[in-house]
Amino acid sequence: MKTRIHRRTLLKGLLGGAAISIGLPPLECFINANGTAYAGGGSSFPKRFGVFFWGNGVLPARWNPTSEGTDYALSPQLMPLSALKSDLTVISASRVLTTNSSPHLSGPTGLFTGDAIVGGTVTRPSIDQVLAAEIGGETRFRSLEIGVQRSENSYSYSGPNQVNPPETSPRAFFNRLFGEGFRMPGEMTAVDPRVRLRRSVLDAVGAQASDLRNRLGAADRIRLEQHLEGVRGLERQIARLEENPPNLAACRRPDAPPEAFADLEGRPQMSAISRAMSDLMAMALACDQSRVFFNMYSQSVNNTLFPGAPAGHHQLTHDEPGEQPMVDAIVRLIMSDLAYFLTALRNVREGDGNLLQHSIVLCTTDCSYGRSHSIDDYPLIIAGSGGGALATGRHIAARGENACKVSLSILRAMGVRAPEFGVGAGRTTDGLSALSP
Amino acid sequence: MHATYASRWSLALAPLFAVACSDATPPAATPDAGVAQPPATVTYSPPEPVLRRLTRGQYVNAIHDLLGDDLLVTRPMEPDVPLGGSVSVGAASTSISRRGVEQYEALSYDIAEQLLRTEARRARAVGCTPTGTADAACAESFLRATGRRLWRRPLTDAELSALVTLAGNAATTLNDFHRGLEYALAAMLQSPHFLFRAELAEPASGSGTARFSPYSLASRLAFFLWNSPPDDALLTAAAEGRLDSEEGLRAEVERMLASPRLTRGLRAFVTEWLGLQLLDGVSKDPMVFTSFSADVPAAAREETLSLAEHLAITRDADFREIVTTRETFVNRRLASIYNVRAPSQTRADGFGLVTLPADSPRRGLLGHVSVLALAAHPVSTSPTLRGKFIRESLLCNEVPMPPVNVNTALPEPSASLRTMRERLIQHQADPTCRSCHLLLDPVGLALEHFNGIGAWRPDDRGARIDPSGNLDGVSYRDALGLTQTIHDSPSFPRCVTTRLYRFAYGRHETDGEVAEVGRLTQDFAYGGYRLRRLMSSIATSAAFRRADGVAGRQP
Amino acid sequence: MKLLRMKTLRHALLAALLAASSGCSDDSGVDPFAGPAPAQCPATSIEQSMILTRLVLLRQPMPGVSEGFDLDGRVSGADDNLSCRRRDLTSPEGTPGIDNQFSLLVPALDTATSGALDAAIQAAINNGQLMVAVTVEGVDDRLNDPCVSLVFRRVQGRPFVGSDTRIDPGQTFDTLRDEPVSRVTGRMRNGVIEAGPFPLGLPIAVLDARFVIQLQNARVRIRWRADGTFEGLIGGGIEAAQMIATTQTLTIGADLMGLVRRLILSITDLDPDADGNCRSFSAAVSFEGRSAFVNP
Repeated sequence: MKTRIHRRTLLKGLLGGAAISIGLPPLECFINANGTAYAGGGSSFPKRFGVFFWGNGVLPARWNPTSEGTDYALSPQLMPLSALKSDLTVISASRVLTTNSSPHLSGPTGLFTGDAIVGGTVTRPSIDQVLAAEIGGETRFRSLEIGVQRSENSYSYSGPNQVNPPETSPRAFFNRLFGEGFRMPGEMTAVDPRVRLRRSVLDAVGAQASDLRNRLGAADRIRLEQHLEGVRGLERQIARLEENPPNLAACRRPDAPPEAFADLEGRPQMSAISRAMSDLMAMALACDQSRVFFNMYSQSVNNTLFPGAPAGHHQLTHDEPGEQPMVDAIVRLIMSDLAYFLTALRNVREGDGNLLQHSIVLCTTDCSYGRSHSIDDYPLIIAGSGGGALATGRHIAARGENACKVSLSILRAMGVRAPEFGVGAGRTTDGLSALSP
Repeated sequence: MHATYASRWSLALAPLFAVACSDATPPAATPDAGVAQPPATVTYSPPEPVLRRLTRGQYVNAIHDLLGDDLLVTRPMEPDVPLGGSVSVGAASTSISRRGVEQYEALSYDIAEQLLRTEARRARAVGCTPTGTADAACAESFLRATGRRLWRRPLTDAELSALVTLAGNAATTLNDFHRGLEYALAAMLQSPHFLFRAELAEPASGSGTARFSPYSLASRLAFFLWNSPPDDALLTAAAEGRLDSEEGLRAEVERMLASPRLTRGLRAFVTEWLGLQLLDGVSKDPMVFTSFSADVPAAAREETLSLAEHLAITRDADFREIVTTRETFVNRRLASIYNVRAPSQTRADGFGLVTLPADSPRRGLLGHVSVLALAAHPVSTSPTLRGKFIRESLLCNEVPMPPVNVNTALPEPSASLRTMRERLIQHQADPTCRSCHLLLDPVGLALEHFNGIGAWRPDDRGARIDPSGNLDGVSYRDALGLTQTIHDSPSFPRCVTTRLYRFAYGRHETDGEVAEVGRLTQDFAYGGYRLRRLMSSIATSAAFRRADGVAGRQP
Repeated sequence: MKLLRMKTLRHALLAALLAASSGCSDDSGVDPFAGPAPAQCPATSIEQSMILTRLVLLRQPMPGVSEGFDLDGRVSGADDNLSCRRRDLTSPEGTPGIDNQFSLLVPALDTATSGALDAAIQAAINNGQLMVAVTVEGVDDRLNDPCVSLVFRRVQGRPFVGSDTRIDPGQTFDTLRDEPVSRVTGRMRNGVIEAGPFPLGLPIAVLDARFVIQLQNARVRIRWRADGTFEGLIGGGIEAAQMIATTQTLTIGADLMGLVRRLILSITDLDPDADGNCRSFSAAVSFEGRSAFVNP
C-alpha cells in the first residue's frame, strides 16, 4: 500500500475550474530513509523491462565473440558497446525453434511470444505485454512503445493481431509523456473538474457494451474486452492526475525535442531521432511513468537508407557481395545507437545503482545472417540485470539451446512465477541456467 | 503485419505451378455474347460474424458524414492493421491499443468542441434551444438523434438516459449546457458502439438460416459501398423493415450506388487492393532518382485512384481496361515524370485526364508511378517485387515464402552481368530458387524499361533491355504484350472479384464461400466486367445477408 | 564536348558555292546540306522542345583559347583593322578564327560579383526567372535533317528542380506573353544542329538584375545527347552602346561604371563604322538543356 496524501485534502477549496500549478518542495513523507525511494514500504527500486529491436539481422562472423565467460573479447560488431561491457550479457548460439516459415518474422515471433506465426499474424501476447499485465498497473502508463524508423508496426502484441503501434515522433512521445498530465514530484495542481468529467465519461464507456458482449463469439469477446480494459486503464491513468506523482530524485521534466526531424538528402536521421527517443525514454522510466517498454528501432525487412549506404538496408543484406562491408557498417551504427540508449539509462542514478542495473533490456533482431534469414545462432544481448536477478557482464555460448529459455529467464527475473514459456516447438520449462546470478 | 513478404492467411506452400489459369477462352465483354448467366445462388456456408473496427478512413468519413464535413479530424489516430495485405481483414481481427484509446479520447473532445463551438454551429447541430443549464428534454432530443447516427441504431432507453445524465452532470459542473453536451458526445465517440461495428445475427424467417439484423445489414452495405456509416435514409429503411425484402434492398442499393459517396467505397477498395497506403513510406535515394520529390507519392496515389474511379464509376466501363488503357490522370509533376504534356484542363487539385500517345510504352496500372515505385528498391528496380505484385495482386497466385538458410545474394553488376535480367539468371539456375523465381522474375523483367520510380529509360546504363517473356505459357514481346496477356487472363477478373469480396466481407473467403466467389466471378464476366455492377451484385446477393446460423447469441 | 568542326562546315559551304558557280543545272548532284538552310522548312509532325537548364558565360581555359563561333568569317590577327585589331581566339579543338572577345570580360565580372556570377544565373534559371525554351520543328530524322526550324521562346512558371539542382526533364511550360519569339532555320548533321545568323534576344541574370541582351548575327549549335539531354553554344555580336547602357542600370557605382565602360570599349571587334571604330563585341555562351513541352 502506498502512503499518498490526496491533494483533495490539501487543496480543498481551490475548485473553480482553473488548474493552478504550485511548486512545493518534496515533502518528507514521500522520501524514505535512503533519500531516494518513493514507494512507501519498499526500499528497492522497481524492476523495468524493455526490448530494443532492430531489423535485418547481423553478420554472425563479426557478431559472435570468440571467447566466453566474463573475460571475453568483444567482437567487431559489439565494439560500439564496449563502455557498457560490464552491464551486458551476450548470448550466442541459441536457436529459435518455432518454424521459420516467414523470413524475418518467424524469429522475433518465436522469441517474444514463444509461438510460430499462425494465420499470417502473431497470436499470443509478446513478452513485454505479458510483463505489462503483471506490473503495468503500478504506473501511469502500462507500457510504452516507441520506434525510430517511421512505421506503425511493432512486435509488441497484446493479443492475436493486436499490435501496439510505436510512437516514432520524439515530439509526440514527449507530449504524451511530459505534456498535459505530467507532473513533477512536488508539483501540485488544483483538482480540475474537467478531469473528473473525463473520468466519468470513461467510466460510462467502460460499462457500455455488456449486452453486446453476450452476443459475440469468443474471439470477439476478447477483442472487445481488450478495448474496454484499455478504457478502464485510461481512467486509472487520469486518476493519477489527482494523486501525487512518484518522487524519484532523478526525475526531471526534459526539454521538448524538435518538432520534426527532416530527412537529410533523402535519408532519415536515424541516429538523431534515436538519441532524442533515448533521452526521453530514460527520463520516462526515471519518473516511473512506466516500467515496460518496446523500442522498435527499425522494422523487419526495412529498406532504410542509412548514411553512406548505396542502397536500402534490406536490399544490401541480399545484394551486397562478399563480406558485406556496408551491411557491417550499418550494424555497427545501430550498435552505437544502442550504446547511446543504454548509456542514457545508465546515467540515471537510482540509490547506489542506476536505472540500467535495475532493468532488463533485451536487445535483439529478426535473424542472424540477413542473407539467409537463419534463426539459428540468434543474436541476443541482455543489458542490465534487473537488480541482480540475472548474471551480467559475460558472453554465454548457449549452444543449440532454445532461445525461449532466455525469455523465460527474463520473466522469472522480473518476478513472474512462470512455469513455462512458449508452445509447441518453442515451449520450455527451464530458463537459461547460465543466466542465474 | 507489414512486410515486403506479405503475411499469408494460410501458409500452405503452393505447388510449383498452382497458378490458376484455365484453358477456357476468356469470356466476352458483353452480356449477350454467349456468356452463360451465372446461377442465382450456390451452396454457401458463412462463417461466424465478426466485430469490425472502424478504419482510419471510415472514422474520418463517419465524422464528416454524420456530424459535418467542416469538422477537422487532424489529431493522430490508431493506425490500420493490415492482415494478409488487407486493411479490412485486419480490422476484423484487431482491437485498440492503449495508445489508441488515448488518441480516440483526445479526438472525441476535439470533435465535440468543434461541433458545439459557436452559436451558429450549436444551432445547426442541436436543433433546440435549451431553457437553462440543465435541460434534459433538449439534451435528450440531441443525443437521441445523434446517437442513432453514431451508433448506427437507435439507442436503448437505458443508454439514452445514461447519456442524458452524463450531459446534465457535466453541464451543471461547468455551468454551461452545451459544454455538458460535449461530454455526452465524447462518450458516444469513445464508445465501442461507435468504434466497432458488430454484425449481429437473427433467424431468417422460415428458412432455417440466420441473417444479419437490419441495422447490421445497413452498416454492412454502407461501409462496403461508401466506406462510411449508414445515412439517415438507410437507417430508416432498416427500421421500417424495407431491407428484409429483395425489392426494398435493391432500391436502397441503387440509391447508394447513385450517391457520390460511392467513390469513397471504391477508393478504399482500390487502396487496399493495390496497397497504395504503402506509398506514404516509400523512400528513394535522391542521388539516383533526382526527380522523386516529396509530393510524388501522394500524387501517384491520387492518379491510380482517379483512374479507377474514372473507369469504374464515371465511364462504368470494362474494368479490365485498368491494365491496358492509355487514359490516366496526371498533374504537372506526374506529367513530367511520364514525359508527356501536362493536361490543359485540370481539376482544382491540378489533376487532369490525359490520353497517352499511341506509341507510348505505358499502359494502365503497370505504367503508373504508384505500382512501379512501390515494387522497387530505393536505388533500383526490382523485377522480383514487380513480378510478385502481378502474381499476387492482379492474378491472385499464391507466392510461397523464400526458403530459409539459402544464400540469396544476387551477383553484382559487372561487365558481363549488366542488366537485371543477366543478374537474375542466377536465381533461375539454382534449383532452390528456380521454382519461385521463374514465377516472378520473367514477369517483372517486362517492366525493366521503367526505372525505380516509374520513369521510362531506353536502356539500363547503356545495356540493352529485353522486356520479352511469357506468363504461364503466353508469350509477350514487351510490357504492352504483358498487359494484354493479363487483361485476357481469366485469373485477372477472378482476382478482382476475390479482392472485392474480401473487402466487402472483411475476411478471406472460407471453403464454404468459394462457390459464391466463383458465382460472382461469372456474374462479373456476364455483366461485361463492370465493377459498379459487381459491387451491386455483392451487395444484393443472398450471401451478403446470410449470417452464421449459430443461435444462442440472441439478446 | 565533341562538335562538328567549323572547318568542315566551311568546306561544305565552299564546295556548295563552287558547285553553284560551276553552273550545274541538274538536281541530281545537289547536296541538300550544302549552303545555308532555306528560309522555311517543310513542316512535319515531329518536334522536340527543350528548356535551358544551365547557362555558362564562357571563359578562356588558357590564354587565347575559347569556345565560340567565327562570326565574321575571318581569322583576325592583331593587325586586322576590320576586327579593330582584336586577335581572334582558337577553340579547344584547334579551330582558329573564334570570335568571343567577351570571354576577356568574364573574369572581371567574376571579381565584381565575388565569384557569384554562375550561381546567380543558375538560381535565376531554377526559380523560373530566366527560362528559355527552344523548340526544334520540322524534324524528319533524329540524326540528319537538311532543314529544321528552331524557335526560341521565353516561358513562365515555377519549374520543378531535382535533387541534382537542375530543372527536371519532361515538364510543361507556358510561353510568356508579349515576349519576342525568335525563329531561325538550320541544318542537323549527326545529331548536331547548326543555325544562324539571326537576331536573338538572350535573357541574362547578373546579381539582382535581369535584362535581355540582343545578339546580332547570332549562331546556335545544339547537340542532342543519347540520354535525351541537350548541350550547345550560342554566339553573336553585342552592341557596345547597348551593353554600356544596360550596365548603367545596375547600381555599381560611378568608378566601377567607368572601368566597365572602358573595358567594353576595349574589346569591340565587330561591325566597324565609317571611322573604322568597331561598334560591337563578340560573345558566346554555352548551355545545357533538358526535354520539355511548350504550350504556345
